[in-house]
Amino acid sequence: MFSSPFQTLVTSASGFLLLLCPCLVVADSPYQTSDAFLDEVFIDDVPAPQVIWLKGEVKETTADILGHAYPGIRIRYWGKDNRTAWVLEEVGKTQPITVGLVVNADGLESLRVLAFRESRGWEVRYPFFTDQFPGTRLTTGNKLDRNIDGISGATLSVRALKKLARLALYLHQQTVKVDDPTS
Amino acid sequence: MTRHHKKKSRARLLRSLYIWHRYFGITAAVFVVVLSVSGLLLNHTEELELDSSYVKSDFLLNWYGIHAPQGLTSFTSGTVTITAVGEQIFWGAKHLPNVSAPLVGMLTYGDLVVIASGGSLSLYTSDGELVEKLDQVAGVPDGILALGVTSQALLAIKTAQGVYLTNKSMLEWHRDNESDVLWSKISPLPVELESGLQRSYRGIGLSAERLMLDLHSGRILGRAGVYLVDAAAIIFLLLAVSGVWLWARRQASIRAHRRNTKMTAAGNE
Repeated sequence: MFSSPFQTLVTSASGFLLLLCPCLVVADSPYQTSDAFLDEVFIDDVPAPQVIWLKGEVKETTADILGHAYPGIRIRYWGKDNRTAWVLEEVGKTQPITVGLVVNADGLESLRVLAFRESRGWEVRYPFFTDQFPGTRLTTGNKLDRNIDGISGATLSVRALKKLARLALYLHQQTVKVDDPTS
Repeated sequence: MTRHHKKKSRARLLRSLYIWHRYFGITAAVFVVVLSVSGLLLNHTEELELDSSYVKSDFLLNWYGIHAPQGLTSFTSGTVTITAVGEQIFWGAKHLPNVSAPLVGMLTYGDLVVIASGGSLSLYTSDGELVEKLDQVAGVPDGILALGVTSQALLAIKTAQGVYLTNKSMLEWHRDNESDVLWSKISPLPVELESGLQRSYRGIGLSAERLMLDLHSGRILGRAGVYLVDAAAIIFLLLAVSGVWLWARRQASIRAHRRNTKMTAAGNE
């Protein structure tokens, strides 16, 4: 097929722009809205939201997991059949990363980045990274029971997501405790 | 050109290079100090909390053109006054870090202080502790225009799509255009508080990190400052090149001198 230098230039430029696409997506617009995330998790039968209050030991442990006090004293979640869904935020470097997490009796079921606002570290949204989380549980010290491989240049975003995974697992334990009349 | 002339002109060049090297060194010294100090501080931004420390100097704030806006929007409910100063929201004279403008309403609802701003609702205890920030994730309709309370004590927000109500749990919202709503209204601000807020606004307008970044890049002096730092970088390069060249010349002359001394000594023997 005939290919002029102009066509080659246009093709190369388009290829370069396509490579840049992930960076261009890094805007305030979400990858997935929280409503869409919840619809997907509960297959269009989203339960009524509930709240967990951060008081006493729960508040202290939450601050310990995050490394700072949680901005607020109650957190909303959606729960059904011993599965809970959480939409949590944590600052990577300067901007909050919005993450949707689902926890069940076997541990973390899924983790998805819903919105990323930082200029670097957006690679954490991709399955090659988020697929490391399903099945993760908490150890007795509220750490993840497995190693999560980091991404070069996205250290702070990786750290933020690991903290949120620990937080969702811990809060799920607390909601189960609340629901369980024997505890 | 005779050998003697060649030697003389080379010596003159070397001397001139020494003089230039000295000038480059003196000129670079100022930049080296500024860039090193600012660079060291920036390397430890988090430990030194530069991002949460603010510049108080009036001169620097004026230099950056940070002036408090006039005509502040304020809402008062009971003893609580919430004011928007530019993009920042204040509880009395205290800055609220989790809330941003535009401020569209505020009221006391049960034990909570509810602030409608920046497209979300922020719930605070009467002591000023944040309970929860409610946005679209929490089912709050988008585009809040006003905040109020109905005669049945339901919390109400007005959006372009209509009026939405919720109860004290604030877990779910439903549309209702029938209820009688008492909307929160802008209230006048005491003069002392207004001037205090304007001072506070300026007080958190310029972080130490921003100042260090601008000092390091030269942007503190605008476009000219960037070119000045570019010039400094070129001087550093010239300094390195002239320094290495002078050192190499010196080494060569020392080696030649040693060789000559050895040969003279051998000749004498």
